Amino acid sequence: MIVAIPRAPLSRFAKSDFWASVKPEHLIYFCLNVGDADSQVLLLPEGDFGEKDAAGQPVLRRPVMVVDAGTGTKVTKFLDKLPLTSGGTIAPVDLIDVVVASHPHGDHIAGMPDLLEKFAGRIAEYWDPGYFHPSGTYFTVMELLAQQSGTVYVQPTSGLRRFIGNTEVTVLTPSVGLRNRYDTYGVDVNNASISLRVATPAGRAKIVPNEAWQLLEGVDDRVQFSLILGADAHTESWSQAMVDFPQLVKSNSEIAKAIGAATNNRDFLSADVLKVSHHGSKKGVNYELVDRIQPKFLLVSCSANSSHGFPHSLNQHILREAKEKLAKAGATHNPDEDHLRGVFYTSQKDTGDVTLGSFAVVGSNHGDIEMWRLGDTPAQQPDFSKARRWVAS
Amino acid sequence: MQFSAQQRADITELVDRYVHESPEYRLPEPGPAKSKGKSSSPKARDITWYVVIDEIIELRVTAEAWPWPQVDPDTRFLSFDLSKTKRFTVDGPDLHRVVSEKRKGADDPEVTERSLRIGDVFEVRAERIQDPSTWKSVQDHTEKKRKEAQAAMHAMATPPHLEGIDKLEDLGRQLSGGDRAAVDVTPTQAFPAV
Repeated sequence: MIVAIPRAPLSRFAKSDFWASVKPEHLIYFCLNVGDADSQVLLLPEGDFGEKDAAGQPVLRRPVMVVDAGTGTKVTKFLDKLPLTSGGTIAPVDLIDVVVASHPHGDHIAGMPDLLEKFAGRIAEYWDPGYFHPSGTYFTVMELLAQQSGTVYVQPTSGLRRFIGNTEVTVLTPSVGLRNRYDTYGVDVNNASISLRVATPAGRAKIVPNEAWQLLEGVDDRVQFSLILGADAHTESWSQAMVDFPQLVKSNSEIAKAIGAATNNRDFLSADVLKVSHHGSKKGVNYELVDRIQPKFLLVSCSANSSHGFPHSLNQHILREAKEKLAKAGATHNPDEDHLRGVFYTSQKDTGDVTLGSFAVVGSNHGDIEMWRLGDTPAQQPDFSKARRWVAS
Repeated sequence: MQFSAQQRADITELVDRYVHESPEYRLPEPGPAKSKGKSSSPKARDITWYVVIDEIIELRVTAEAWPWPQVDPDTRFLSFDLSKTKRFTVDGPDLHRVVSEKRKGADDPEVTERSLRIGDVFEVRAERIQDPSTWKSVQDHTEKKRKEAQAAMHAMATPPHLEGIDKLEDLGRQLSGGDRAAVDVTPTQAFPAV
């Protein structure tokens, strides 16, 4: 089967200064071009975390999350070089707040040993799904974690919410039901994947002069910038997420109001950005899931010469149909219009035959979501001097 | 079971002094080296590989391989040379046929005939590990290595449990009440300070 990764029109990319466009309140998401693998870095909005400089003044910083390290050294070098490549906009990374190893496949943890060695003692939390995988990389990661001082080890399941500054991280998968079945050898390791919803701002309370904290009224998900990072979860895992996070239609009934109050009236399976699961395999997503998330951007991390034939054409059809409903009318989608649907691939080229490479997506509560491409191949580091911003229209 | 730093230090001393000499309390020792992954025959260039099935997508299988690991004598974790990692994707039915034909040490048809699964571990002697048609022998270690992976996670996440430590507790207390000056109270990896 010939995998068709459509080219995005050259004319829709504008060369610009990436770092000049970034504001302190922005969440910056990087999905690095690592072929059929995942390596993601999130620089969360700046905040005061109680750190002070020599003069006793608060030092603001961006918390850092790393979600998977799928190749040898790319993500570690990326973090190392950020102060330089950002022209000083980003301070040296002294602490990684959370490292997530979504699941122990080599294309997601091959770079973890390098990361754990280079950032030894500077990783606050390490999350993995608790799936035992007898690979050399897994054993090495366990040994290196045993030597980390001060790192909290976590095996999260669906529903866990971690607040980091003004960012809310919600674990969507795996469900605890899936995790309890790992040892039967009956759970595909892909379905053990930790998938996350990351949203900012998390704040839902306001200060009123001379009053106690008050709940913000009328705040819903549309004023958040949110991402769903799908790891390699398949339908079995997503189906349980759809049970754990039910879609609720707005209603004035008392019970609906009560559920709404408990969930802050949000749909945890909605997001502005979806990092498509499993490199675009045909099991990675299903139509109902993507239709419900309705992301503005659907990002696929895959190789141009995938040994597994990623992205699968079935997956591409699902993404297209979810964003442009033609099936009922019997019409077919024009693959070359994927960019209009917000579907992009790390291994993609533009119509000028230039590699588009890693994604950077920037957003805040102002609705100012921007998607950039950093022009690198899997073997290269992103080059911010080549950064180009996607111009939707 | 919780021990004070002093008790842990005492027990560590006891372990050093007695346990390694006593079969009853002997810790698992690093196994005999498999020639650091190399064949003992000077003519052969076969390497003993540790092969794990990492991903199966329908008829395509991705495997990862390393020279056979040693047990790190200090940490007791399996120690792999990650600089020699081989990752390769091959035809699943072809790989299954090779594994079934060459597999040794398993008489149980359930093991020898079953389909490949993610997490299967094989000891393979081969020159070119990426080409299963050249594999010379295959030994199935799946069950043992999965348990070792599970043990590695628990060893990382929780304080290690020394087999027979309950029997040593009394000895430790006796020692701590006696010649304290002779006891090194420096926390160790096996017995960190609490």
